[in-house]
This record gives sequence, structure tokens and C-alpha cells, in this order.
Amino acid sequence: MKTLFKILFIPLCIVLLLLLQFGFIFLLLALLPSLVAYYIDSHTKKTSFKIVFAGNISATIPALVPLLKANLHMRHIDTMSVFHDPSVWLFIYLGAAAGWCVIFLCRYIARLILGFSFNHRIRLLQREQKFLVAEWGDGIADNVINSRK
Amino acid sequence: MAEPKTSSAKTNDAPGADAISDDERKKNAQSIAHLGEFLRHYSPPREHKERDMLDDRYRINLASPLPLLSVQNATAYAVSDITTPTRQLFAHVCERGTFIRSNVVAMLNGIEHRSIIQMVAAGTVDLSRGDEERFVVVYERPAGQKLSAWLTQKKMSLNPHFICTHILAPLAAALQKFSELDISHGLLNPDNIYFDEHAMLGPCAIEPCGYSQPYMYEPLERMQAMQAGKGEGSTAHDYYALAVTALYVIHGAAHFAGLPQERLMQHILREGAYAALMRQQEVPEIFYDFFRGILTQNASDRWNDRQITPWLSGKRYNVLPPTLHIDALRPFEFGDTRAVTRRELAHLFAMNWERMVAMLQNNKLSHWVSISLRNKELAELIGRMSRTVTEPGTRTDAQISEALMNIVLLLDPQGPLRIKSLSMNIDGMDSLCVEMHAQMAHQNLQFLAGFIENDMVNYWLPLQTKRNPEYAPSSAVKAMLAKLDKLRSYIRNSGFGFGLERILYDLNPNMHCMSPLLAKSYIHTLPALLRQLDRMAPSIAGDDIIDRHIAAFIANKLAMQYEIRLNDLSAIPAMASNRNIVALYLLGLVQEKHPTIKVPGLTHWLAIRLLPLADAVHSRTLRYKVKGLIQDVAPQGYLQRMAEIIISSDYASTDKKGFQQAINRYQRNASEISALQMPGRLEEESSRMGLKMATSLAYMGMAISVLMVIRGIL
Repeated sequence: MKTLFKILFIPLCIVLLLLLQFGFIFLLLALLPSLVAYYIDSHTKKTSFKIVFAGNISATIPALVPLLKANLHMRHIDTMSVFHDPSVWLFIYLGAAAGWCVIFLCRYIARLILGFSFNHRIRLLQREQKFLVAEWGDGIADNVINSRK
Repeated sequence: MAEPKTSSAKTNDAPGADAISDDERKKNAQSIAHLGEFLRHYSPPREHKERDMLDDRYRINLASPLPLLSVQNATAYAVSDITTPTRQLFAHVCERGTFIRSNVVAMLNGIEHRSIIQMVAAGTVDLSRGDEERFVVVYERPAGQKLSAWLTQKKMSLNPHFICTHILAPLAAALQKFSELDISHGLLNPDNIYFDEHAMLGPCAIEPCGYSQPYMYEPLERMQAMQAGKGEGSTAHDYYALAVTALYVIHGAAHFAGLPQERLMQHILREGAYAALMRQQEVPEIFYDFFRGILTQNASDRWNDRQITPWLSGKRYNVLPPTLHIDALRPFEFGDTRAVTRRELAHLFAMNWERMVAMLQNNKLSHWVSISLRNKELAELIGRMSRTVTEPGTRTDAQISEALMNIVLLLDPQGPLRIKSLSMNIDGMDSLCVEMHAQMAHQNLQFLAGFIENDMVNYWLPLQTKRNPEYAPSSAVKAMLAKLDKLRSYIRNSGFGFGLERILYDLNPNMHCMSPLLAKSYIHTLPALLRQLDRMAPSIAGDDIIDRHIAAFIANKLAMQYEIRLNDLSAIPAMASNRNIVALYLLGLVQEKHPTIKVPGLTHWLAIRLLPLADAVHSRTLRYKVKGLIQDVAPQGYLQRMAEIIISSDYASTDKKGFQQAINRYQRNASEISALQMPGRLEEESSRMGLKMATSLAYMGMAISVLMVIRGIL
């Protein structure tokens, strides 16, 4: 998959360069946060990068569409106006930031959920252990200790 | 107090004791106290059995002992018959452990014969003295005095006619009756003959046949046997004793003076019984036939009632004096002694067992048999057995002893079975076993057990048939051979109900239980045993209600052939091997046979011992259930029901299975808890889960964005 991506990456860039022309540089600049995320993410699956990229691209696509449309219809468009519009850059980088926020927020929520779940399970198991000892005697605990030794 | 002294300790020692809470311990103690309280006040309904009374008719006057009528193992007391007060009776109150000749009691009880002391009744009596049960035999009191005493008083010698009509004829008539009943007397001697106007045979039922018979009244094969191992024999030896008694009557006690047992045996072996006993003393001519006919070496040649009755009526036979056939051309030298007959040599070997092996070296014996006895067949047999003993190899002591015994038997097939210190006739093994148990001669008992186990007796029977083709084993011998065959199949079992004690009760099925626990009782039936144990329950403080004797007694009566293995309890070894549970099982079987007997004393006693044992059950629920059931069943007095709860139900396997499952479950839970509590686990899991959630959200956002763009383009 990785190799396939690598093989397709350069033709894709050429296609995008042809389609977007000057807009390709815009795309490269817009996806800078994703590029940073790619190098920051130490996981093999690059999950953080994928999330940041998804946020980043989601915010970039709306700005990219007029450029793509114009080039497809052979119409001239002032690419520089897009470059000079700070709201576009803000929106694009906010998209990438949203990706990072989702990562940290979800991790926090997951921690809350799992923490509660773990504690509940431990309490249930400990209650069952107590019941087992009450019913079968301390011998079963001794057996466990001995078997571990 | 019937409560076990160590009940609390036991509770703590039980395998499941760690599961016992303080509350449960308290509850246990309360239950035991409750059961103990019942036992303290328990007095079983006594059978209406008046003390010192036999058959509700014969009252034994313990205050009136009769020393003149007392015998070795029984004291004589005056007896009054409450229905016929004028009757002159006496009773023999037997000592504990006395061997009772039950067949003789059964045959003689109620028999009326003018020359046999009349046995009026026999049975167990509750004695007021010592508060114990004893076996008692009631007889008509004989008129006159003992023949020996009467002869001592008599200054002049008796005329032959008087001897024949007043002494020999009544005694011969008595022996004829014994012969008809297929029993022997075994104690015919002047001290056990009562004489008034005619002779009357005294009692003989309360000791092994011939046990206290003076040696000179016994034929050689019985003289050579141990006192208790002479066996029932037949009336042939009683006729022999009759002849010796006649010699005593004619010559007086002095006739046997200076004739100790060993010397008499040597004389008999060298000269024959006739010459040895006559001692070259003249007797009236009328007695020639009588002594020559009776004082024979072989029992089969001996006169019996068929010859004696006509002789007493005046018929004369002109019998030649019995001569001893000298077997050997040259004597066999055994140390300083020279043996000229096979029997003499066999006797010498038996008396010097340890030196016998040396005599077998270099085929010395087989050579002597071949050359001097001119018996090639016997020489070959002896040679083969000698090699078994002398050749180096891995022969066991038992195998060597068996070979030596067989050699002695080959030399003297008529004699008793002699092996090391034991010497017995086949039909005397039962009484010998009782004697050994009474004397606690464990080594000899082990030897006897080995003798039975190795089927050493199988050599004896063919030899008898070979010696005398017309030989037919007596009923006592047949019965003994059958008992030995049966015993052999389980003699190796040593568990409860088997072992040396089982041999005792299997050889003596009518023997009372010799357990020290029942020292004050005379128990010879299972119902009596159950009732007695129930009666004793409140006073048994120890932890054993049955011992090996009681177990063997029960196993014998129930014809148990296999060792008790409580397979249902194998899951709880502490219970499976517990003696009280085995006791419960055995006694339960007894009660199953006699369901009408209720034994609440026993069930409470056992419940007190079994409640702490139930702590070995791991499961609290099962434990409560079992304990509850034990307590519920105890007042009913049915051991069988208690046994069903403790032994037969499947709680033990359920408990074991459940305990194993619980251990596995506990282990799994413990592993899961420690995994959940592992440092960093929560962070790792939450990170993974958070990323998954974030990925989903991000892809959703991207999809929405793409959809919106596509919509805008279109």
C-alpha cells in the first residue's frame, strides 16, 4: 500500500500540477501543517497525520475548487487573490488545527470513558473474588499464589 | 463424655478448615454440644434380660462357687432352676476369649444320656458381678466324685468285671453316642469322669478339643501338636484315652510316674503306643484284647464301638500285641540320636527345625530313604525338596519353610503339620488361631497367615489318600479345607475388616468378638454388636468406635471379600481414609441387614465426629448442607441414612469439581484485575481509542467537505 502510494504520488503531483498550475503551489503551502504532522507522527500507521491531513484537506478543498474549475474551463482566475486572502489561510490552518484538537479531545474523552469502564470492571471482579473466597475458602487464593510462584 | 477431646483441633486441621469462619466454628461447637447433650442423657432401651439369669429360667448363684467343678477357663457356680427348684445344677461361667466348641454345644445341649453329663442350657448371661456378659453352660450336677479322687480313696484294686461294667461300659456307651453325633469328646481322663455307681463323662465344650487333656491320654499325632492345635479329630482318640484311663484304673496314677511327655513320645516312636504305655506291667488277661485293639499306632486300626461293645458283652478276639514296624535297615544319625523309623526322624526334625537344613546337605536324607528305607519314589521327592532348601538361590524364608514342612510331612504323613514353632492338625487351625490371638502371639499369627496364603496345606490331603486309599477326611477337616480355600482369596488384604483378625473370625465363624472395646460383652451376632455399640456410645470418649477386631467380625458376618474403598469420597482423601467414616460404612451395612434396630446413640456419636470432618468440604454451601443433613439424620438412629449422606451422595465430586473451577475463576479474575491495574495500560488504551475516535471524526469531516464541494461544482 505504501509502495503503491509512493508510485502514484509523483504522477498525482504531475496531474495536480497540470490541473492547478500556479494553484499547485497554493496546495503545497496549504498542506504544510499536514507535512509537519507527517514528520511529527512517530506511529507506524501515521494516524495523527491522517487526522490532521483530513482536517487540513477538508478546509483546503473549498478554496481549491474555484482554481480547479477555472483551469478546467480554460478560464483565467486571479490565483494571487486567493493567496492574499488571509481568511482563506486562516480557514485552511484552522482545519489542520481542528485535526489536532480532535486528536487531543478524543484521547481525553476516551481516557474518561475507559477509566470509568476499567474501575467498574475491577470492582465487579473484586466482588466476585470476595464471593469465591467466601464460598470456597482462602485455599483458592493460596492455590493461585502457589501456582504463580 | 462422648465428645471428642480434639474436635476443635480437628476442625482447624481439616483441609477446608481455612474456609471456616469464626461464626461457623461457633455454630459447629454449638451443634456438637447439642449432639453431646443428647448423648449425655441417652440411655438405650435395655432388653428385658435379668442379670445372672439364663433363658429366664436358670439363676446363677455367683455367691456359691463350686471349685471342685471348676475347669481351667471357667469357674463353676451353683445354679437354681426357677421352675424346678429341686434340680441340682451348676454352671461353667467361661472366661473372656474362651474358645467354645459351638458344634459340641449345639449337639449336646438337651441330650440325655446316663453316661454323659447333661448339658441343660448354654448362652450369654449378663453377670451382676463386674457388670459384664459371659458365655455360660449349665449342667446337671454329677453325682459322686471324680474318678481320680474315688480311685485314690479306694485302697484295694478293682476287679476286672467291675471295671468293665461300671467304668468302661458306660464310657464306651458315651463314646458311641459321641460317635453317632459325629463329634469327639477330647477330655476323657479320670479327672473328668464322675463316678457314683457308674462312670459319667464330664464336660468338654468350653475349650479346644483336647486342650487340657493330659498328654498320656492323647495318641502320638495329637501329643505332637500344640495344645490348642490338636483339632476335633474323631472318637478314635477318645477310645485311645479310654484305654489309657483303663490303665490308670488298673494300675493307679503311679503307672505314669517318671514318664514325661518327651520320653513317652520317644517310647511310642521306638516301641509303639502299646508297649510304651503298658510299661511291661501285667494286666488281667481279660483286658489283653482291649488294650491291644485300642493302643495302636494308627487310628484307622484302632478299635471302636463296633469291637468294644461285643468285647464288653464277653466276646474275645485274641488280638496280637501291636508291633512296631522298623522301617530302616540302618538308623539315620541325627546328632547324638539315631532314628530307625520315618516318624521318629520326622519328630526329630520338627523338634530341631533349625538343624534340619544341615541334615539335608549332600542329599544325606534322600540317600538314607533310598538305601535304608528302600523307597526310591520317596527318596526322589525328598531329594527334590532338599535341593530347594540347600541350593543357593533367592528362596524366601517361607519357601524354605514350606519345603522343610513337606519333608517332615512326607516322612510322617500321619503326624500334625509342623512348620517352625507351629505344630497343628488341620482341623485344629481354628482353635490355634484363637489361642494365638488371645496370647497376642503376632509372629506366630503372621506365620499362620503365610501358611494359609501359600496353600501349604495342599500337600497334606494327597499324602493322606496315598497313605491310606480308604482315607476320608472328617467333616471337621472338610470344613477347614473349605474355609482355607475361601480365606486364601483375600488373605493378602490388610485393610479394615481383613488381616489377621479376619483369619480369626473366618476360621471360627461362631467366635464372639474379641475386641478390647467389647471386653465386658460377649458379642457373637451383628444385632447384638449394634445394640452394644449403641449402649456404649455415651461412654466412648476416644475417636474410634470400632477397631480391627470389630471390623473383621462384621466383615466375616457380611462375607465381605474386597477391601473397603470409599470411591465416592476419593475426591476428599481426608474423609475417604477416616476411620469413623469407614466405621459408619461398615455399621451402616450391618444396620441395612437389621433395619429394625435403631441406634440413635451411635448416630449421635458418629455425628459428633463427622461434623468437624465435614469441614474438609471446600464449598460453604455444600458444607452447610452436609452438616445440616448429618444433624437432621442423627436423631433418627439410622446409620444407613447417615452413610448415604456422607459416603454415597455425589457432594464430594461436586465439591472437587467446583473447587477446581473456583480456583481457575479466581486465577482468571486475579489476572484480569492486575492487567487492568497495570501502570500505563489506561493511557495506552485511551490513546488508541482516542485516535480511533478522532480518525472517524476526521474522515467524517473530510467526507462532508468533499460532498459539499462536489455539490458546489455540480
